Amino acid sequence: MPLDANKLQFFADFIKKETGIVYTDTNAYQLESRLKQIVQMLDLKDEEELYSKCQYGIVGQVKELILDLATNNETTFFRDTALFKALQSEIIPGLKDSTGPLKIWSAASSTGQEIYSIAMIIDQIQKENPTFPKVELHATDISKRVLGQAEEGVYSQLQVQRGLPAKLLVTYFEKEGETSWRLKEALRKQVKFKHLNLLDSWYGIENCDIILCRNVLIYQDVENKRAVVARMTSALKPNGLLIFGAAESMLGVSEDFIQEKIAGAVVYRKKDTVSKAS
Amino acid sequence: MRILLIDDSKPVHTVVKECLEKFGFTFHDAFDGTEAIEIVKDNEFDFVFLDWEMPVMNGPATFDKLKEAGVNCPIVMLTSKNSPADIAMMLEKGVSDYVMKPFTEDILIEKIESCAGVTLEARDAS
Repeated sequence: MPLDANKLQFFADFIKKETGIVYTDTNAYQLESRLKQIVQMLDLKDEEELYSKCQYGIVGQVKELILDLATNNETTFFRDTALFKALQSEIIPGLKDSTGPLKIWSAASSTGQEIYSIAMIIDQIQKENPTFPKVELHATDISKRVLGQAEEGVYSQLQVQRGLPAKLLVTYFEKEGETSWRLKEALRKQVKFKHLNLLDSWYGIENCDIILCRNVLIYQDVENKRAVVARMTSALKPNGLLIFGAAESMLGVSEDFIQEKIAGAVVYRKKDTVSKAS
Repeated sequence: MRILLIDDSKPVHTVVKECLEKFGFTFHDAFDGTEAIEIVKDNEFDFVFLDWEMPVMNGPATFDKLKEAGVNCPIVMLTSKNSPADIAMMLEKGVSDYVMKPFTEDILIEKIESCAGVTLEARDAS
């Protein structure tokens, strides 16, 4: 059952407070459809149940989901601290014995913060361990607008303060104008950007060690999720890792992966029995 | 958590408290470095936000005095000075992190979480 106007306003007020994004009468339908998605994702009875769950405070997974859905392209550097700690301390260092270059793909890169955070981690690892393999970094997005911003590598003063410690800011960025910062060319040129709709039938990216596909498939129905994950399965090396957002799961999507918890972060490892053509 | 806020601008004190009020912190206000040094003689803190440009004693000098006074909690700059050289200099001195004004609520929360190693939960949450 859809929510009455007052209850819908409750969620609109929360989103406005948290993100500045305003839902009014003219786009209330978008909010309704996003709340409906959350109801499905959390396996609740209806929007009323979601409202009951939220009226004493919107926290944890529900908050994550509401904000993710309200802000399609919003991202920050090192978003999801647990995941990036795991990437830096175990996941990426664990690839040190690979032969040939490593390949990491940010499948919905938005304005680039995710892949550039990875680039900073790799630069630090390679400085500590000069024999660490070379890494190819790929980033794709459905939006040419955000891809253009990502390639430019220019961020506002507010953007470079979200998730990015000042030490990394002064190491990897140059100031551009009074309040913008640009990622240094040495890091920018490491990333290959490409326009891609994940619903397309061919990705043109293969042999990946890690694919990050975070907070993207939550917008898709289960058939699309299965199709996208099947193509990503083909794009991964045996034992390669697929990484979802913290609120997403592989349940009902694919049986070609084993869920693992590495340094507190949940990742999906491709079974080595899965053939490339699967 | 007990937070010491050192800034000569009253509006900054107001905004920082508004951004963080839901976490139930205890704030102490200092409006210049010398006042801060007096306050830390009798009080312990878990976190310090420190402005740069202040009358009487500026941020870098205050940082040195705080360290001399034995303050060992995270000290994070909160300032309009935003040149890479300024930031690098304060990191070299030993500040835990650096916030450039203007800031947002999220930035303050992230810096407290990352520097103090805590996860903040709003007190009015269920």
